[in-house]
Amino acid sequence: MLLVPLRAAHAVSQKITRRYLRPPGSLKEVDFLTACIRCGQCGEVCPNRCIEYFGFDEGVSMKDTPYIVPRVKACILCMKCGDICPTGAIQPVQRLAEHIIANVDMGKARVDENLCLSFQGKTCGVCYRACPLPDIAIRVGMLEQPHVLDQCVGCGLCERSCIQLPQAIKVIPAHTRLG
Amino acid sequence: MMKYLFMRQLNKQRLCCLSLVFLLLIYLPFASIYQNYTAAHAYDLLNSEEKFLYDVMQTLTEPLVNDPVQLDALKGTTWSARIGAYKISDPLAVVSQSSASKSWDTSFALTALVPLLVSLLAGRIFCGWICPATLLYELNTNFALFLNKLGVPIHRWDFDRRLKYAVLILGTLVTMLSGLMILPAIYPPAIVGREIYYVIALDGFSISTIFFVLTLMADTFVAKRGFCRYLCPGGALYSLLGRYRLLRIQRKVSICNDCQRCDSICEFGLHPMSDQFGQECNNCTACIATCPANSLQFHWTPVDQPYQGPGHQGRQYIAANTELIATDARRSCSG
Amino acid sequence: MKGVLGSNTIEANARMCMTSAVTGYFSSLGSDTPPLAYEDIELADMIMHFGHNARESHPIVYWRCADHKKKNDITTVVVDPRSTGTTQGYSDINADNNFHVPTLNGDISFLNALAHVLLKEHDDVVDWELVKAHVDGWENYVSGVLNKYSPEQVQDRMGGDVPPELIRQVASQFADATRKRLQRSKGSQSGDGHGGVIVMWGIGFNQHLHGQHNVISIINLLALTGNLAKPGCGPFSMTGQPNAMGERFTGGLTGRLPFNQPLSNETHRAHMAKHWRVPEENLIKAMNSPNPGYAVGMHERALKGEVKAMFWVYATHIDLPDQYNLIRPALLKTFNVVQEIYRHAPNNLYADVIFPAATWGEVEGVYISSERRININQKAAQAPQGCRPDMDMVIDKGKEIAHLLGLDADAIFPYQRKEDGSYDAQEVFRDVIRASEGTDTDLTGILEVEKIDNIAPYEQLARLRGIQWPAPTYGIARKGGIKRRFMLQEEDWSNRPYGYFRTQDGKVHMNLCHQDYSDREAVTKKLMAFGQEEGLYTIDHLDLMKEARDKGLTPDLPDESFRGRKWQDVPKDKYPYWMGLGVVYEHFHTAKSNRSPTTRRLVPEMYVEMHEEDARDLGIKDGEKVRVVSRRGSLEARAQVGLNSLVKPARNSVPRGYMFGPWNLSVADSADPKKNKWLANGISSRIWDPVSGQVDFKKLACRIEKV
Repeated sequence: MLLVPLRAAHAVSQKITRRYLRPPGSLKEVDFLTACIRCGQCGEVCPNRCIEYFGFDEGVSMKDTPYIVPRVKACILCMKCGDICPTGAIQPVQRLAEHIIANVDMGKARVDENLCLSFQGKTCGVCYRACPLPDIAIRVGMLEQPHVLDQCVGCGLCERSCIQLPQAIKVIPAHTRLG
Repeated sequence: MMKYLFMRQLNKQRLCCLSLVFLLLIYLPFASIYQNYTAAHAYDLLNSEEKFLYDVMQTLTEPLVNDPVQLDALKGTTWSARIGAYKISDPLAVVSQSSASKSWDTSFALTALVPLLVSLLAGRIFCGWICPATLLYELNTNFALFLNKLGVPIHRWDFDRRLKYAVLILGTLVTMLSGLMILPAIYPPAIVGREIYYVIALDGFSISTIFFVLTLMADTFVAKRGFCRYLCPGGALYSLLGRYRLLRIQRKVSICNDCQRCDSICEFGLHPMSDQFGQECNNCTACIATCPANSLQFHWTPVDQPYQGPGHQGRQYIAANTELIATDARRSCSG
Repeated sequence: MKGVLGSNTIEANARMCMTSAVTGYFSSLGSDTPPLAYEDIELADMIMHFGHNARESHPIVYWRCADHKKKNDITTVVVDPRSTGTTQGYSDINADNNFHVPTLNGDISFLNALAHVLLKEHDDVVDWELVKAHVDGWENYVSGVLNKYSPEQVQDRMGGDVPPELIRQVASQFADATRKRLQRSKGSQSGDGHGGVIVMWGIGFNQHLHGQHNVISIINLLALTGNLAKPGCGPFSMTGQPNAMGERFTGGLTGRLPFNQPLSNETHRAHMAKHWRVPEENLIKAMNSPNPGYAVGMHERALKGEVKAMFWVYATHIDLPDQYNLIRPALLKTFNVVQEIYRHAPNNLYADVIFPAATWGEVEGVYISSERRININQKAAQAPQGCRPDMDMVIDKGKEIAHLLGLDADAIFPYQRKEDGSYDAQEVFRDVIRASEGTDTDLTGILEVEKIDNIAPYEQLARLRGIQWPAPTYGIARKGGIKRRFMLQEEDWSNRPYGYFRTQDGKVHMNLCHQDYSDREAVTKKLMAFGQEEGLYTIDHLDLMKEARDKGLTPDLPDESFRGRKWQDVPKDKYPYWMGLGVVYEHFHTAKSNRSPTTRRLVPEMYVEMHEEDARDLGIKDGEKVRVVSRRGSLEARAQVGLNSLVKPARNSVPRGYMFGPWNLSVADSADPKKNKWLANGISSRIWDPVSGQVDFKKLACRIEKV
């Protein structure tokens, strides 16, 4: 009887609609929520200060867990959060390209061709230039049109740098992926 | 005599320790901001307030580290921290996390080993010497006394100490069943540590601060140290761990003068006069400091003494044992 | 300036940018007229880029070429010492028909060598018909290239890895592309064939002390093979700033009058005096006031005390060379009136009077693009209080000065103010159009359209998305101007003031340009003294400038024997490496854009591209702060070593011995000249092309030090 309202609270919290990313190297969402002890160290050690913490609006299950909004401040993949996380909710990943590509899955960037300037006959390519893994996570073609590749880790630097309003490239978080 | 002097100073040292922890909790978010500014290599782009923070932090840390990156050596709160290469966590965090995930993470559990061992050794010493909420609650108690002098009625109620064990057990059960991490949300030291970080480094406090302020108010008006005594799940855990602690305060009855000051000063409502320290003593040494006869001291022993009776320097004992005392006195004078 | 003050000392941005193209066109074709339209890109069979990092400087044109390459698999050739994104992008599409020719200063020899190979091995593509009938001086050219410019003979001048096989390959591709055109016109060189070779060049090609000769060499080669002024082929100079052609068109340069005629042309002078409503004596006075050295000369004359005041409009002084020894000392001596748009502009440091100006987007007006298209620029925002359009302020100044000189100011500047207090740019435009009557840039068709169809000129420009000049008749203006020039492509322009070409004799003038390194060290040593010795002015040594130009030399010569040493071991008076300045995609010319967070994040600071082995020799690691020192000054930058550099943007690679940095971050460091370390033109040399006046920013000798 006690569990019904608790389960309901949990279910409500899952309906969060704000698009957010978890820090790089995080476990998948359902495991993350029971591994993270809400200690706040990942945000404290982040040299880019991109990690923020949920308040109560998103529900009890999310409260005080870390998240990143790439458009506000994207992750620079320094991987310090993984080093400091005591429980392994954020797994430590070596700061080398192969390891990051293999183990980081914050999400995957997606280009909205209706917004992207390079698809509108202008040339841009800013997102490609902002990407820390150019030609691995994203490449450019004609008119500097961006094409996201499979190995995109979802750091969001592209989204942060997009000069279009609203941004033409967005990271679709791993935890909203179907299947 | 030196030992007594030392013992009496312990309370002051404890307050220093608590203050140090609190100051670190304030310093660390500033250090985090400072490290962000140095990593960005953009001093010229800072506005005047940011520059001020930078300059102050630089002055404070320059003598200690060559490179601001080295400030990574100390991070975290009392809930979980990293000192150098070593991670250290609150045992309640281990309980909470393993219940939520219904799995056991040995490497994480090991980070709580030191606090666990210290608690096995010295009981609820975290609560007395480290917990940042303790500092605020103790200051709040003094404030309550001040209000009382002004005529405001303050904490008059007592409740059952065992309530917090129920909170701990219930909290753990709910965590296990729902997977929700509710314990860090209601545990004051975790709250205080996080909220200080939020206020300094992010955009302000959360609902947890309001919760904590409510507990402060409850402490003032409802019950002295109400949360710590009756509700804190961490306090419950530490108390359980410290049940057979080796380091405990005991009363030397021969010099005790029955003044009852120790009983009245104990924040946790324990009864040193009855030799009842129990598992909940947090080694705050307030009783040691206040005893005019220096009869309270730390001893290495796993159990409390059984009741020793009234202090031998007290009126009650002297009245009951006058003959005995006189005989002893005559014997020692003549011999 | 010319009509009212009678002064000839007027210069524009084009002088540092593309007057080599201008004077090259004048010399060969008789008029500063790029003969093509952008449409020709899609008709070409081969596109060459000389000194042109198109992907970064002209991205839209570049991608049009790349698109054409993708769809029709045309050959592309990129001639540039660096391996830039331009050539990499082409290689991504098809590496088999993309060629990178990494010559350093050897362009004239390269072009002559191509002609040599074509004459010897691909005689079928030489347009003897055109050459014999419509080209003047071809005999000299042909015998010259055949005797002295074989691929083997030019090897000492290539400055990079350009072996004879590569030259022959490129020539062969050139020939094939020309053949495709011939096929379409069924073997005839004229006729309705289209296609062939388009040669584009950018500022890297113009900015040489032999820049005019560079351009002439291109036109020579194209004329030889009939790849001139037909659909799909020809010389296509890329305009640097959007309005460089506007400056050229309106005569904003020393010795020029509007509409592509010099001050020395008597009839035209009289024509302009009439249309400007000024006494012709003023123009004669202007003609008789020499301004040797053009923009560089102006400042040397200022140092000498001859030029006493300067008026800076819509131009910054930091794009001029030798800032510390020439430009800034000169500015300290003159009385400077400045019209500027932002507070921290470097011009303001030296201004005695500052007029705040409205900027792009806040004024209405026209500008001209590479293909001679006059485009309308509409007003989109209100300028801040107190800022007025540059044109308005110049008109007011002109009126005031005319008044003070006793001229009839209201007749010269009869423009009325609109309701909002500003002058009507369209009215001025109409005045310009009326004055262009009878010239080879005749625009009077626009006024005809206005009269007959009642559409205002700006409205016409908006509807047709620009009109290419000339537009001499109603019909032509309605269609959007004349698409291609020369060789009788101008359709129904019956009273055209020329025949086949705009020269006096109606022929293309082929001038064989030489390059000769035999005397290189001695001559260059003399050139390197300028900027170092006090009182030594280039305008007093015109013969030396001419000699250097005729031999196709560079303003500096690096001490190559000192390469391979650690930076500490290079003596302070030796400069072992080449250094070039250019632009970077993410920033606009003078880095006003560096205040924007996006561009700042993408390219936050000054960098210098270095070859990995050079960096290793020097003992410099990627990302370290270095100082680039030349004889004249220094700058600080971050070393960007190799393509995997962590310093953004790491996408171009330099050859060994060559370094490259952008100049367009110059003001981003600090507005305070004492603190600014990125002033790139502090290191450049002032040696100029005697005809075009352009300065070589790409071949300076420098030394690297670690900071």
